[in-house]
Amino acid sequence: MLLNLLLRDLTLHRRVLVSSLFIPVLLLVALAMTPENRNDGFGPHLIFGLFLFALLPLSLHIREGSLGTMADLLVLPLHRRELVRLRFLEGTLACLGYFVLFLIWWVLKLHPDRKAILELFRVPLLPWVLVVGLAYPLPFALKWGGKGLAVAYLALMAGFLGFALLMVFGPQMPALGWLFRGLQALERFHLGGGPGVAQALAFAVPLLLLAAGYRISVWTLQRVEG
Amino acid sequence: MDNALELRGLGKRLGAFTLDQVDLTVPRGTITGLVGANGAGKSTLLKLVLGLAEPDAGSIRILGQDLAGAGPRVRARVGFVQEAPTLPSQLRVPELGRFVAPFYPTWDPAAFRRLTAAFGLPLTTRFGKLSQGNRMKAALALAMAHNPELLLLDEPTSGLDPLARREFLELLLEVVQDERRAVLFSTHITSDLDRIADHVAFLKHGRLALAGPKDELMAAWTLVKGGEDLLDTPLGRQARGGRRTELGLELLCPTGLPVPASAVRDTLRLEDLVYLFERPLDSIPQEVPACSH
Repeated sequence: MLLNLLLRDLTLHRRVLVSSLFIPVLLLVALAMTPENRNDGFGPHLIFGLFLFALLPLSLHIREGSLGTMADLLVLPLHRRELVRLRFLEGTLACLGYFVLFLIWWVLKLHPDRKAILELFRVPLLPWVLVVGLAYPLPFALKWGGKGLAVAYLALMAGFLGFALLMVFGPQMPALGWLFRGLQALERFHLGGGPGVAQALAFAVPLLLLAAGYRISVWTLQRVEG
Repeated sequence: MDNALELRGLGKRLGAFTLDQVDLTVPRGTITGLVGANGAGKSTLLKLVLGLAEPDAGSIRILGQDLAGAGPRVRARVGFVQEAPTLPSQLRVPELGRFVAPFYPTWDPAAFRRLTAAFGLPLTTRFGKLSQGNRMKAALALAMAHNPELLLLDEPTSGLDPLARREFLELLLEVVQDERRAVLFSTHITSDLDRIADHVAFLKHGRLALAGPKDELMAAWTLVKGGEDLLDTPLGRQARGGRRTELGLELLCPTGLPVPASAVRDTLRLEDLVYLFERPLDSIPQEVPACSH
């Protein structure tokens, strides 16, 4: 059934999907024009591109509302959890596609050393992008469409601002010392600085968040009225 | 005769609107017309039946199963056509068939081809370029090609010209030739129901005001025309609605009561029944403006 839904989206949203192919082209062109740095595997081009592709399934779902096809989608004889799985599958496939494309381009063009390539795989970049770009805002988009997505990201930005302030002023606030130390440890582990267990945890945290996002999205969509 | 659809005490609150205590059955082999003014609750009722909204009260049994527990298998036996079909505009009719088919285990490609041929649909024209009538026919062919046992149609004739509407209604009559099938058809065009409906359900302000076999309903009520003195007769006191015209009164009365000599009985159409039922006489202006020419 997921394949059928995927083919349905490829047909219905063909123009949007074709247009989205310009994202990697533009980003890779921009990357080609930046000064050469062989080991810069975590550049903003990669993260920005992944984030845009993680958002793609949300835009497809919101587009169903604007096209008027949402009722047709919701009356299809399938469980609503299949629709949430579809969005997760689309996000994962789109991000993986871009990641592979980026990797090929990076290796062929900049010839990074093996250590730099391995570093790229030690960081749970893809799971975190899927958490922030897909799993976190999806319930908002399922429930309230584009407005929900906007609110979700405003809240996220407020959260990032709070995080940034904490990193700056945390050391001067003894009451928040435990939180500051925890965040520092999390940041260190994610950048590959921790032991093996910490590395595993670094992957486990976003994967657990993805699972939670999936469950919340299913719960939300089952209560959405068409 | 078993029922394709049974609604018991169905209720739903949406802002200021309330769908209240709706009891309705749609027997197999029949066309049931759901009629009411805009905002009466027809679309809300269909949404509840389709599972697009959760009822606040009551129950829905669809093809013998509670909707709450009905999985995709039951929903695959239901066809749905909405007022303005929203199918991908770039696809041609045969491509639309391939677009919808994978979701229905009982999809019959031969039946789809037969229906598109019977409806005279152009096979090389994109959906977005089809006329409103042909779009509706295409949507109906898609809804019928998986042999649904219950067909739900939300105001399917509202955008059609008279010729296309007539053709469409004849198609619906063919649908229920198969006694396993049933059609629930919402409309505010009562003449459509005059032609094809076996049963009629009249929604008014979210409440089911009238429901039953059309012929029985039509036989139970009569239209009586007369002067103001009609209001003082037993017939006038039993009236369930009416209006004042420049010629006098028109009252909707139960059949079987004697009509005074000063009044006349007139032919009752479904439109009169729906228009006059529970319509307070005093809400009608006493004087109707005369034509200027």
